[in-house]
Amino acid sequence: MRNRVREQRIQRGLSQAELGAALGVSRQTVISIESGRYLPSLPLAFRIARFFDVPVDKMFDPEDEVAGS
Amino acid sequence: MRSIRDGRLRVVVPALAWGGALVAAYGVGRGWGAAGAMAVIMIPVAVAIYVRAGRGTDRAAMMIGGGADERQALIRRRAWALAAVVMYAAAVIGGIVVIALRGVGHWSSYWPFALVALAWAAGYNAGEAGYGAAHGADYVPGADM
Repeated sequence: MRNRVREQRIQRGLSQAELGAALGVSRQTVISIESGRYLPSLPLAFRIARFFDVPVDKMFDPEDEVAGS
Repeated sequence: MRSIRDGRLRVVVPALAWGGALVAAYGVGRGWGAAGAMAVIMIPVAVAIYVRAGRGTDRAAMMIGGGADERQALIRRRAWALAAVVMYAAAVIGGIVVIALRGVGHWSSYWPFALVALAWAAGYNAGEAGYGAAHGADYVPGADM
């Protein structure tokens, strides 16, 4: 599943650490989410979407899923 | 910063308590001279744990436990689960090897392996029951209150 967390974060001029602090997660977790290595829980996904004021299905796009991943 | 320091103590104090219990057991069984040497070895270990738990890494957050976010908590749970499986396998294999070498009549040789395997089984069953598996797929925690 691809996501637009990195794109949105950069648009708002935030560092990974700042975004992590705002969401209540570590910088490492932000890195893992951005790189697609970690799929956040539903509550965290909604928190991310609300933080950026973007619908959750626009922030996390299952259509972008790479076959077999 | 304060929470990190408190978190470090949450790691170091239990480590020291377990180490102290080990030293006391060794002292009772083998004499207090050797136990004293063992206690001295524990000090740098405790310092190393304290330093490591204070770093802003995944591992430090997982050591502290309460400071971990959901991904770190998931990694921690998976690591615990893997450790439990490895421990269980080691207990079963160890028990089988002892029985093969000494026969089933030597209970005193293989009871520690049996104890670990039984503790694992009891823990697994308690976990299944506690996390809802015993209630079936329709169970919703809190709905029957």
